[in-house]
Amino acid sequence: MTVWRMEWVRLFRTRRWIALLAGYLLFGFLMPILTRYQEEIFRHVGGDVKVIMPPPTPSAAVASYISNASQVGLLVAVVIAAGALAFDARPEWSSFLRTRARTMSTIVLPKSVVCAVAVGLSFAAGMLAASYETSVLIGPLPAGGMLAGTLYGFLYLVFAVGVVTLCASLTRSVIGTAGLALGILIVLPILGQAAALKPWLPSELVGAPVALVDGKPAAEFLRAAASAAAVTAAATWFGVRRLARREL
Amino acid sequence: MQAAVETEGLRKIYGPVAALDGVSLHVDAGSVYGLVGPNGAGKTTLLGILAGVRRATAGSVRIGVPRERIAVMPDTPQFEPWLSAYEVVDLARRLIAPEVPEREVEQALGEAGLADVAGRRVGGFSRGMLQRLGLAATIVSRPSLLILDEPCSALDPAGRRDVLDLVTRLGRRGTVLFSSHILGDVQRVCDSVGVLREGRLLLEGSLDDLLADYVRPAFLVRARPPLDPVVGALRAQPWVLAADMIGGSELRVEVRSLEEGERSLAGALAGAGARVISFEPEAADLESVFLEMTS
Repeated sequence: MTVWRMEWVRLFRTRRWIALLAGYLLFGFLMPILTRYQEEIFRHVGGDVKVIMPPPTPSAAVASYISNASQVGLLVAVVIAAGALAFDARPEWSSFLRTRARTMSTIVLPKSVVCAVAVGLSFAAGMLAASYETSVLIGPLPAGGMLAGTLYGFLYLVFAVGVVTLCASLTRSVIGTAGLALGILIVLPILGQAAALKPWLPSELVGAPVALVDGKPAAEFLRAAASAAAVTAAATWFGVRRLARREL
Repeated sequence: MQAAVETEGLRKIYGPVAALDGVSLHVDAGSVYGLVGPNGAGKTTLLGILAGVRRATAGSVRIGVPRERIAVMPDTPQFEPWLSAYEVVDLARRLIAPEVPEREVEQALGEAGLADVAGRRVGGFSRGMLQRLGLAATIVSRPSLLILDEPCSALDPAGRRDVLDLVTRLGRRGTVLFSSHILGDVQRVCDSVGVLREGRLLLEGSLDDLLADYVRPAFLVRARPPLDPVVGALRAQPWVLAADMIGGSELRVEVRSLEEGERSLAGALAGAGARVISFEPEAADLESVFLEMTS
């Protein structure tokens, strides 16, 4: 049993993978249907009121998936990552790991990477479901744009796990870690009010799938992707360093 | 003798409180060292510093074995409840000593008395079983230095006996440093003892020396009443330091030396007309030392 394997086992035995995958898949399958039939749905619930909706588009279906998955999915992802990374919340278990691992990265990296991969794959599965459903119900999506958008969305979630890693080194409890990380991830887009900063913000990657389906070039998000990668690496490095220095 | 652990003037300050105040400890390599002290004496803090999970405010620590040859067990081990006992011990092996073959996992579980529940998830384990599992996860790496914090605190008498036997066996392979407030356990397995109180190491030394230095030799005499004349006669002897009745038919006779007592006590009792049922030297125990030092 290695720490890597333990983290995968954690996802499966605690059934956290169901929460992750089910959330993204649910939105992936549901949102294109709601987009396709929204006019009919409003007509049924609206009674005599006549509702005129724009015709459903593939882009609107993807946007609907992203807006829902990026909120609920991110919340689930952050809580799951905090549960794995805030191991100091239980000093006896932390003591077991700390007094045996030769370096702190031996403990932290498997936790971060497994969480990031699991969260990213769940998001990608949701994107795949949304793509399929949209193509069948509304119309085809550009394959290149969807692929690039999925990669950017994946990268944003990796960044979110990096933020959780940093937060686990700043506070000990699972709730504190999740709360602090969510706070940072929610506040981050506000920095986009400064026009010069906006293209560099990792939070720009959240909307990348929709923009790319709408025809924007993938290169437009390279700066945000670069800063997300850099901040993830820095947050993880800093988190490992702080955790290594922390006293139980 | 070469030291497995040596500290010099170790201090640990938490706010206004000195949890450790100038502790200079010396644990000989190959010994079983018992750290005793009342609750809040600083035992866990001291072991935490030696284990590397806490930092000293001042002073120095010298560990005579490589980091990967040290194994540590906290007083209340906890593990992920969804892991099996086998997986916990195997995880410990992979983390600290991946070169140790996997078959050692089963052996460690067997030594800790958990062979039958190796495949069970630890979420359903009792405190005693968790403590045994903590011990298995500690010994699997074949450590040269074992640091055990209250290893028997959650065990029933049979479990305590098993674990103390295991500690004795481990002491033959390496050095064991363990804390306990169960003085009988310490006396049973340790060859050296340190007494800690309020962050200070009151005394340290081999168990035999401590008992010889701090326990006054005494005899327990059982005889038929009346005992008052016997007490009076014994107190008149120059080699008797004290003679006191314990209940109606027992006397405790403190003597200058065991040898003098062995030579003269029987004659003095006969001379006083005592109807003696039995007499024997009082067992020297660590509890007496501990109470004398910490009172």
